[in-house]
Amino acid sequence: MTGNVVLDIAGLSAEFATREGTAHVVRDVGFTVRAGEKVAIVGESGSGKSTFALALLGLLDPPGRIAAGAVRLDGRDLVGLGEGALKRVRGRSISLVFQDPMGALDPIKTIGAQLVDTLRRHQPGLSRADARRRAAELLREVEVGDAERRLDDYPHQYSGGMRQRVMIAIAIANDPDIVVADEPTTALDVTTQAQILALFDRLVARRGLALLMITHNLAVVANFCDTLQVMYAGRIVERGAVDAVFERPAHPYTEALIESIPDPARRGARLRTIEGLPPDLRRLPTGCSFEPRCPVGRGRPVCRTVAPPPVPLADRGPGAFAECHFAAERAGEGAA
Amino acid sequence: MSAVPARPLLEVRDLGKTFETTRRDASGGRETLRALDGVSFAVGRGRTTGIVGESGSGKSTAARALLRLIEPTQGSVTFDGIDLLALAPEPLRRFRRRMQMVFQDTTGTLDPRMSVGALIEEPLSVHRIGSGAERRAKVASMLERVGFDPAVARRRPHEFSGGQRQRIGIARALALAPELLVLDEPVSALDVSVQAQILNLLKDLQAEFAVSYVFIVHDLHVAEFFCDEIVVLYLGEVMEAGPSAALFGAPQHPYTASLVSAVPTVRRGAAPARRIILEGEIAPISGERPKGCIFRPRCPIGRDRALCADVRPPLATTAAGHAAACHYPGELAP
Repeated sequence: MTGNVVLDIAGLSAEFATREGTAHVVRDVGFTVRAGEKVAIVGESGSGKSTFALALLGLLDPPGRIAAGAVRLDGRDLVGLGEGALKRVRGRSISLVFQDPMGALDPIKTIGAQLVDTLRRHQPGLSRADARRRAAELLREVEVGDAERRLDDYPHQYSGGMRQRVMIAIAIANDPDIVVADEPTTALDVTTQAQILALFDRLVARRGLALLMITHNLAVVANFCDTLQVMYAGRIVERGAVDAVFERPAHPYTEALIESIPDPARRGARLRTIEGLPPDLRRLPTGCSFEPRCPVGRGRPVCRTVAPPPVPLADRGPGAFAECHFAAERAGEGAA
Repeated sequence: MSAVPARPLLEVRDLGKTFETTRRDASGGRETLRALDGVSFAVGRGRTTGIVGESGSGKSTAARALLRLIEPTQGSVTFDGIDLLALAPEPLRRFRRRMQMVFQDTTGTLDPRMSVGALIEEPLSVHRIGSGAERRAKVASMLERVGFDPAVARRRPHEFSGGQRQRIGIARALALAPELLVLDEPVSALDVSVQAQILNLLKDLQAEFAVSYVFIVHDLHVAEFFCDEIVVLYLGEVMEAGPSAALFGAPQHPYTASLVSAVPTVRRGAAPARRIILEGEIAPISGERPKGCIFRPRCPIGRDRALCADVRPPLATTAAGHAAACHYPGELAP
């Protein structure tokens, strides 16, 4: 079950000033995430997904900047807030889990001290003793065995999977409404990945947490998330319920991505590839940004000259759309 | 069905590697770390054997040990009938042109100061093959073969994307026309659409040059799609080995079954009937090997069984060309 809108992003654009002109890295991105919902943004390297995550959390440093848009968290716009106000929000209402927990943890502080710091930063009234008790509870919640004792261990004494559990404990320490997870299982083995995804599932269900997962891994999204959003050249080009999109991708880019994953049932066959490279974000084409590589639209006058507006696909979940001139017919192809 | 030809190109028998650590054991000697123990497999000519397993399973150690980039402490490696472990340094150096390696990390393995042309030419000059002009012609033809304009020979590695650098690494490894290529996670760092290009290229090159591959890979979809035979490693030991389709279609070892069931899939209807989530994590064993099954502490079916605790299961044949090191093969199905 999903609840109230927690995160409401509207018209968010981010850009980088470069010597050769402005790179439009995130372009007019908007969507909402509700409590208890697991939403994914999937994209390849250079799609803009990491810049989007930084912009969302107010972490974009010059020469990057937010050019337009709003990021409303529980109704309050974060864009334009000062660093002090942002710091009070981050880790409290919205928190982040990175791919590399070793880089995010302090190697010379015990896990317990880092959890206590996180708790007391946002709850100054909490005594050290209470914070330590709370820290042990958090470790138990993320299923670290022997939690009391392990509070006194240092990050290097934890395995990669256990460190990621600690990162999740830190992320949920102050009971945020939404966790942004940027490639949270990419560095992990498949059996550990399965454990971490199962843990996220339990936390979402138990706490009514909203989860925004940013990843390159379509298969993880297919098995774990409710809503899929595909990013290409800075825009979300398709959004919809995971099952519907995988069943019949409406955007040719989404289809090509899914098809390029090796399918053991087609052993020996050639894999689908995507010819060419993503566009230069400083010199975007006037038409569809995928047109030069698109098996459906390449060379078609409408695709070359008109940027496709989002075509609503209402039967594929709330807010579903695809930015393709042929989205409606593609989504309906073969449908009864 | 795939069958290994009578005389495989490469035969690895009972390969073992033990590292000494800096720690002292109770008797004052150095504590040892078992990285590989009793690993055997074969690679047929023009075929691909995949070595799969998690980090710490020993798959990269196996790749390096069979090329003698590290010295095995036990076992034999026979390449086209020649005992590799018996070769003296100079004959081994000359032999290396017949077996090459491609790495995951092209940033660390392609010298940034060298041009792409010099990088591809280097193995040819090291082995004193051809005249300068012949070598440059070879560089041009290799570049073309992996999809570049030969003019890129003057450029440097940093001017290329990750996928392009991997193609340069492949061109460099194939310049010597080796019979065996050991590919250590060659597509793991790449985007899925680029990964597809590299896998297609590797398939084409294998058909063209009749080269055999040992493919070290943690992605089971890639392994199943690309490899003819599979070897599953856990803590340096072979858990299961067999033809790819049979091994993934009907895994006999509970570790393989757990891996298969843990892999997320995008295929509708292809998802496993149930998800087996293993407890704990792979943890290296220092000192004495426990006497039973190495996987037992995490095994969903063997944890509490006396036989599994007491007796190390041998790698026993379960079907043609398919073997599992388990006392209860096939009991746990994904």
